[in-house]
Amino acid sequence: MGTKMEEKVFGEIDKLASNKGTSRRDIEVFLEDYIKSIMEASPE
Amino acid sequence: MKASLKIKNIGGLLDEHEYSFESGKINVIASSNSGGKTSIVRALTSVLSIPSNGEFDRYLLNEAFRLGIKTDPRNPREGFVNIYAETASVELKLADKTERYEITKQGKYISLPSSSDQRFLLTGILSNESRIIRQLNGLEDYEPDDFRWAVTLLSNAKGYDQINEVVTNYFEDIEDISLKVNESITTLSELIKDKNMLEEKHKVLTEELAELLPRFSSSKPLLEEREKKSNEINDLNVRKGDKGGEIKRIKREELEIPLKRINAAKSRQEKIEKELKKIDIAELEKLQKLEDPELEKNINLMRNQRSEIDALLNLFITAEDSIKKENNKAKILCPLCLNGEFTTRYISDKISEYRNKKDSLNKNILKLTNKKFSIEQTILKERNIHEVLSQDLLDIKSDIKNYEDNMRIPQRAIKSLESTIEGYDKSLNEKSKRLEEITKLISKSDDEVNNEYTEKENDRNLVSQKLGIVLQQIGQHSSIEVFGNSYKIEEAHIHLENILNKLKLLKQFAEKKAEQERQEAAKSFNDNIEILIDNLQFTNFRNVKLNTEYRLYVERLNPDTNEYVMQQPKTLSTSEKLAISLVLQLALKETYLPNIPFFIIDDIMEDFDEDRVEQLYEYLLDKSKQENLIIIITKLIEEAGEPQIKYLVPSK
Repeated sequence: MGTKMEEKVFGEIDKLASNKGTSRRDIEVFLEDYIKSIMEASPE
Repeated sequence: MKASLKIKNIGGLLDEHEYSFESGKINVIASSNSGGKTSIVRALTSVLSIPSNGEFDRYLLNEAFRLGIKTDPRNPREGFVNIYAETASVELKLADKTERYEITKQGKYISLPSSSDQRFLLTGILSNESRIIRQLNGLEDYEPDDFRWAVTLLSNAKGYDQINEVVTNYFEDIEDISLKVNESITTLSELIKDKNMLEEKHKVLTEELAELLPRFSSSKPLLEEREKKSNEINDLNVRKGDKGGEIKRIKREELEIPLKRINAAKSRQEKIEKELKKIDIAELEKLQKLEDPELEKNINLMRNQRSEIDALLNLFITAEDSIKKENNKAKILCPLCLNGEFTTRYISDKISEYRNKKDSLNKNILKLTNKKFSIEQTILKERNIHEVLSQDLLDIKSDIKNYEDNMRIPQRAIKSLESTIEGYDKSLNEKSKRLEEITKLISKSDDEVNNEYTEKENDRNLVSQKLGIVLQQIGQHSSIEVFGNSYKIEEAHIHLENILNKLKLLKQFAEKKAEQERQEAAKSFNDNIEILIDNLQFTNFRNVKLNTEYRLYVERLNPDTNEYVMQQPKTLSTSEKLAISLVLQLALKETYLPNIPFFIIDDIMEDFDEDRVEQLYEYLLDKSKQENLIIIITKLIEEAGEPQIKYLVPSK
């Protein structure tokens, strides 16, 4: 089990993986947003 | 359930045609060779599979070309639209819903279906062009028993694998940045030591210079001016170093990465342009036009011979049955010639002779069909590669433009900093000249102390220049850009560690989920295969399934020992491969697309051996009783004319 943030991200990954229309660019945008949110949160 | 299909200008069928299909029976599309059966199949397949945005996934583009439902814009004459028409359309009415697909000869979409599923190409239609048949016949690049694609591409595993691939790329990017951060941390610690040492030296020299001042007997005002100029020069040197550091930082953070990407993109662009030049589809098509008619003619000739042999075979099988019914009498009357008799030996010899002939014909038909496929496959592959490469080229050009646009702001900032440094240099030059003049004007009586002062002052000047360079280097290494934001190097180090840890978790999650999806898909696939083998009564096969590595495992009955033994799929006979293909294709449909109410068998019923055809029809008739499934098969007839729909109804 991960943190709440990780669980939310895993949920998003499930959505991306199960959506047949997901493109590579969609995944890149999602990852960039995720990385930005990690950097905005103070490092643990 | 009833479906109405209205098509216009598809393949060989010019103008509008309408066909009705129903569940509860087998729908047989019957026509002579090149009569239009396959055009109807293509029309139906297109409206059921073309994605609502018109874009097939890369892995399905080849199937779309193969099954003839995607028009290649460079070769519209060979495409989906009839050669005498400008547009083609398909309208499928099912229950209360109507789906429409319309396209121009040049491949421009006019209307697209909304609830199609491109996976239908791999699951809902079985023809000689289907991937499963091609694979088992060894016409694909991978091993005939390797079915990893069936549990990956068709399931959500494909999505998780794609996510994993992108995460891995980010991992590499972050590792590159981390490497730079670690180098900067080491360099910075050395630079700070140098800076402290130089600052200390500067302080000592300034104190020593101050101690020299009282020893001057005259030239006081000049000395004051010299001290002022000297301080100004020191200050300018440090500021110049600072601005230089800023330039280096901008170059490193904001220009180095896009420049590296531009260079990589340009080298990729060059490589792709070379590849594209090598693809000569026209030449391959010329070869196909030369060889295809001859191959087609020979295949048809052999198919006709096979039909004749089938008729004779049936005759002798009937004769054998009659003998059995008549308590194995040694002879029976010839059902053909009326006045002659057949011996049991003669009959069994004939059955075996015709079976051998049919087997040999089947092998030859397959050989020629494979040859025809191989030319077509090469063309399709090349076209596919051409299309993919052309798209890549467009993407690369747009990437290069974006990188160049992104570089404009930092380039302007560098220009402005360079002009500031130019101003400093001009001012430094003027001040140094004045310093030289002042030194010369200082009174002769102060020569001795002035020499000592000048030497120390030169030393201090040198130290301040070095300090400027060190500050410049510190500026260069003290911050770094991470995904669009600039961070102090120590902060960046912590952030990157944190990102790497989180991405590692994400990668593990995606890997685990992809494998779970594959295993679930394989389990469901295997369960469906087992049910189908049982329902189809294919008793000479057992334990047909994907193993843990997603390889196809088959046990086949050895008629000599009456035992089941494991057999490599590639060593099965032509007819057995066809039977296994049918089972696998039906199982794929049951596993992935149970809700699409169509299953199509195009152009292959004639290739099954006679025992299996009977079983197959029995199964399909039974299956057709399902209210939510419309089964369509195509049948070759001699009668010329437009395709007709005939119905086979199951017995109650």
